[in-house]
Amino acid sequence: MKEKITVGILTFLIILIIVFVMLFNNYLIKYDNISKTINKDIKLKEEKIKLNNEKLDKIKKENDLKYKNVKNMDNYINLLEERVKQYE
Amino acid sequence: MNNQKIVKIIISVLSLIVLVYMIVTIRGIYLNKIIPIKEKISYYEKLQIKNKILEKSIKEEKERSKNIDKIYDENELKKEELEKVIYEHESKINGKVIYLTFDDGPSIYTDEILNILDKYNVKATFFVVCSKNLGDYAKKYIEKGHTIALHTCSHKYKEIYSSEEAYFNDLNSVSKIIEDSTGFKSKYVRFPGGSSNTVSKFNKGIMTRLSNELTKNGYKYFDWNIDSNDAGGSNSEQIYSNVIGALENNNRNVSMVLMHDTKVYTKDSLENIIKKAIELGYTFSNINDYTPLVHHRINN
Repeated sequence: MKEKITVGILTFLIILIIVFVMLFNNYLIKYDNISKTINKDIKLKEEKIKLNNEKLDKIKKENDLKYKNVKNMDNYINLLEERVKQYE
Repeated sequence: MNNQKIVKIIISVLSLIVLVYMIVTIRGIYLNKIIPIKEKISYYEKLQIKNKILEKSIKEEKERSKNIDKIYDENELKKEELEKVIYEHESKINGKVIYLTFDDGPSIYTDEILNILDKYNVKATFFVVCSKNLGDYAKKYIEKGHTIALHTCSHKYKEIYSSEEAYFNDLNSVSKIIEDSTGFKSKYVRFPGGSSNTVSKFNKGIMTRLSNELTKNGYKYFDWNIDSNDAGGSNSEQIYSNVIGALENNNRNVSMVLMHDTKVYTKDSLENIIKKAIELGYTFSNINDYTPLVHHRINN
């Protein structure tokens, strides 16, 4: 009887170890996949941010140039208005 | 110690080993997998916030662009109206308007020329080429109310007249410098040598093609009808005589005078030319959208 209990306990321990190792591998694979997915998402997001930064810089530069042109035009219009005033 | 006790001890030790192994393994998974993944998720969330802020900024800049375009269009209309009023007034006074045009600058004499023009409140037109301080002068011309126009970048006949592509590449180079420093895109052009030049005859018909292409692309090109002859080398008295002589014998409403701000005798004769022209009843103007086109006959 006591021998049966001993064998039973040992068998249980062995099965426990086997099941644990299987679960362990399963979780390893699961977390590796999650990690890969997140890495991919992070890479995509970083690229998108890089593109958006370039886009923003380009638009800002164009706007600054346009604004400079508007300012120059304002100045030129003031000069034209002064000339017209001289005629009046 | 009997066998049962030994077995009990072995089973206990084995159980302990299994337990320790499980704890260590679970801890390992937590530290090496779960925590890094949590950190990556947190980093990803920060990236998402950063991207949203960027997208919002891009949207705001696009709105700003629309507003600036709207103001520009309104200003453009206002400018055209004022230029029309000025043109109509100046051509009505006695019908005699002079357009002083200075080619090949800016140069070491340009500042003095600008001061002389300021002194008599005369607005002129500068057909510029590339130089290291062109950007700075472009701003000055515009601030003082003069017209800045394009004369190509290199002024090298063999290069610019070798093909239409070569000409426009060269023209775009000088245009870009002006646009980068002032935001202003000039559409007034003068061909090196004028549209009647024969230096381009190594490429048959190029001047005809270029004049058509320029007009098709929204540019206006201007030649001249009074030549100061300062390009050929002279002195200030001769320059004065060439210009005033032509003005005195002039029945044209529009006198477009070719000068070069790279010549010291042009700078030296300018004040006297302006004073005499005013005496003769002329008014001065700079090229604008209402300026009548002055074109030579094309020889190539």
